[in-house]
Amino acid sequence: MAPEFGQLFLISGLAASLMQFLLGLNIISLNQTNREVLITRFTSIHSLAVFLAMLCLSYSFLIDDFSVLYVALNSHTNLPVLYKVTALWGAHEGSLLLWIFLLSLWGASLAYSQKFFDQTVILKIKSLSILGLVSFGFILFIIYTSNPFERIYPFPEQGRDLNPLLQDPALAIHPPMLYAGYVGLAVPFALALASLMSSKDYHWAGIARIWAINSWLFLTGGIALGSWWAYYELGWGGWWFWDPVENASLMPWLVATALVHSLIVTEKKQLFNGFSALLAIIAFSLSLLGTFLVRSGVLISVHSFASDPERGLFILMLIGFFTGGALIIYALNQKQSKPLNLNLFSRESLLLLNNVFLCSAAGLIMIGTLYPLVLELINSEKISVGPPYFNFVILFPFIPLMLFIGVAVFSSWGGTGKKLLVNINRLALLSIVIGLIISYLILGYETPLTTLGLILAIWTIFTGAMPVIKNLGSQTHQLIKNLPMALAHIGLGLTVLGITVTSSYGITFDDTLGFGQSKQVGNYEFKLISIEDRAGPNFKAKVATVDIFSDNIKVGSVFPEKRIYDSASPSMTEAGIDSNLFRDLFVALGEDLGGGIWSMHLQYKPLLRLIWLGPMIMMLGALCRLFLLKPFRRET
Amino acid sequence: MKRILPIIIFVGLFVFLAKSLYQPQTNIPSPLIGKPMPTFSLSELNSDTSLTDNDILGAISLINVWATWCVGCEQEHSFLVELAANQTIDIPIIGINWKDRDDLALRWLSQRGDPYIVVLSDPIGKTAIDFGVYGAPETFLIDEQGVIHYKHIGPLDSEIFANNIMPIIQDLRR
Amino acid sequence: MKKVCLILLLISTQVNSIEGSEEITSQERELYQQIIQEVRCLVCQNQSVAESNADLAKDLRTEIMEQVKQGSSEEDIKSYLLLRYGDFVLYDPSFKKSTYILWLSPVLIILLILGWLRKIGVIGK
Repeated sequence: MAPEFGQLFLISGLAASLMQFLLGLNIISLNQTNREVLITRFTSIHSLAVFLAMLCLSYSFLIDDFSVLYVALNSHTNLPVLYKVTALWGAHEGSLLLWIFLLSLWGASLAYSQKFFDQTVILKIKSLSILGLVSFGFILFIIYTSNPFERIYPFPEQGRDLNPLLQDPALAIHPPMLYAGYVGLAVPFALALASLMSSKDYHWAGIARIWAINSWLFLTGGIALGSWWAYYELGWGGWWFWDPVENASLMPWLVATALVHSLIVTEKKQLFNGFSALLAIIAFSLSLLGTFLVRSGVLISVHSFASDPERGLFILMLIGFFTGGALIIYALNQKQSKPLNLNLFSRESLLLLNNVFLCSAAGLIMIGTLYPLVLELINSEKISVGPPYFNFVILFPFIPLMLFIGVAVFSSWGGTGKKLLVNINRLALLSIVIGLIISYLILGYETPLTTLGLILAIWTIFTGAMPVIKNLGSQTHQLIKNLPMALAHIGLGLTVLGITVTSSYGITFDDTLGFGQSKQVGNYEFKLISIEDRAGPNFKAKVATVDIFSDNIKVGSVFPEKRIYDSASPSMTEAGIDSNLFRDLFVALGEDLGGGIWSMHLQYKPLLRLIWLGPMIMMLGALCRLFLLKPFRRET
Repeated sequence: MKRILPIIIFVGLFVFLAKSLYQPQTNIPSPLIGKPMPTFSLSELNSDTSLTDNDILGAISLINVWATWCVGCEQEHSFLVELAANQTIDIPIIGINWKDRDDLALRWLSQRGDPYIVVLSDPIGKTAIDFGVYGAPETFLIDEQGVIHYKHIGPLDSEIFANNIMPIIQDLRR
Repeated sequence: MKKVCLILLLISTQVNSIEGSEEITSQERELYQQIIQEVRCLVCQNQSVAESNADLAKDLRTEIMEQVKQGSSEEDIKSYLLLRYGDFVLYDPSFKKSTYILWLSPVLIILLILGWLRKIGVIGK
């Protein structure tokens, strides 16, 4: 009965979200307070309904109900319980259910937020209404094309099992986090539209900024998790491949970063209102586009869910409606903005400039991702656009961005270049000198780009830390005010540092090892000790013991595996990794070549962990902003 | 202008995405069309004699890359047998047994019929790479001088042959 | 006893040289690693031949390694693959008429931005 209840709850959610939408229109005459109360209630009902629907599906997984098609396709009686729960979002239908659940939660968070009052209640009502419509569209999509509660008859004795790649603890967190980020962008989207439609300029900015930071927090975490997971799970040591689905998550992140910064200017200086609204619209639209790319099958990706043009078309219609509609509202309600008279070195201007770099980066990624598709359509030509292209073009916006981020930190509102340049001169010099020292003396010179990357990373870290360091011990309030920015920028600098060092100084060996043999990779010696058999809950594996030595002292042992799952999927490699903050030593098993010899993939990756430590610190910065600063002040 | 630029860009993107939805996934086009087939020297199935590309010149023929482990090859095989027996079309089929074992190949053919005038063994796969093969079965149409005129990826059937390959053969024979 | 030792010695050297990838220089090794990351596995869902376990990927890696050992340059190996498989096999799109826009887009975007910033009065005062 659970699946049927699930369907019922979904339909209730559909109805509740429709009411949520309709209450925002002036169809029924209500006074504003009542309207607010009602719309809040329906938002809660909608969230509850979707939550219960999710519970029903979870229940079917937990009791191994293979009469439910989705469970039969994604589960197995031997599947560990944790994965029976996380399998819910392991494929298309279930992950969509997660999507709408998170969307409803964000709506609820907006509904119960304390940040609306008097003048801005109308914004709350209108944005909840828009969110209701978005939910309505997606629930409709699920019910009509992607129903996870569909039954199958006759039902199989055993499920097809969850893709072994997904049987991993990180799977528990990566999709929910990422989706929370994606759908969270619907809130600034809704607020921007609400503002455009009710001519309540600028008030929306402060509120939208909070939700933009919330989404950014989850997106940062989701993307970093995905990268980390790919690294240790895919058995090859790569952590970013510019795969279309990866790009689909990076683009909204870049625009969300721009949005957060643009909203600062809109909130504090009442400028860039139109631009902020447009960014909010684009950010959420990119989330929708990402959904489309993953589920429609137009692009080839390791991440794509099973594709279906019919589903793709529905999502495309949703995008057409929401993005198209939003852009029309934007065009109709945009006021003629006064010409800007900004000094290039004022904070307003520098934030705008950096936002432009961020958006260009997103634009370039979009072009690279879609180009093969365009060419195929026009010319019937098939090309591939991959890491060599993206790694090259991303430098064009990112190098100036990294430079101007540091400059912007020292800028002041309405300020000029003179004072600014004086302040940053010494830091700039320091960064260059340290960068050069590290590059030439410590790590060894590689390429000009490596040195530049080091200098820019150090520059970003120093400039980020400076406002906090300056205020240490004196003005605590100023210190706390700058802490979010400091953490976020330092995090970014660390990420770039990690990327630069690991790409330039990492070493990879693809080689063969027999028992007792060893290979030298950089300063480390990898020795294959033995290979044993092991049986897991739903797989059999060959486990190798590889000892790693540095200067003949044993540094650690790793245990890479090659697994064959009971459900007869192809074999999987589990890498053996010895890691600390300074370097990763990565070993993956290749093939059994007979005679006790295996082909192996050995890697030395310096400072790799910084690539994920950086985002963690960025997230800390966001959390500081959300919880550490004084709650949003009541407007007088 | 600033207001409607986003809409214009969006509409363009939208139309483009809608069109690509219904664009069928095409196979990778071969850069070898119109070029002479790659040189090779492979031994005949289960014998010591080796043949080169020169040895198979002289007639419009099909080169079919197949293997016993390939499901699609199983599917197309009966059509190939029919085609080989067809006196009207009269087109010899040369087989290249890809990444396989001679004994398995012989057994496979004896069970299903042998449409090939000769089968060459490419156990390592180097010649297949030269032909740009990435998934069996793949079939090439060559003319008397050994120039490749058509490549089909996937199982061959009478419809594909009639619509895509036969017209080229007829052209070549004029 | 000596015979047994001799035979064992022969066997052990045989076993070592089955894959024989020992005798390559570090530059050759780097070249190999770099190229295999840029070659697409044609039977996979967007993976390089470096990452993929597919048979075709293994064959291509072997072929590339052989060519690296023979002293072929990056250009040589890439054009070897291009001649046989076409543009799709390389992740680095070639610079030709149909990809002008692709490769020039960073420059175009920067120019557009500068033009726009000039127009709204942020720069060029």
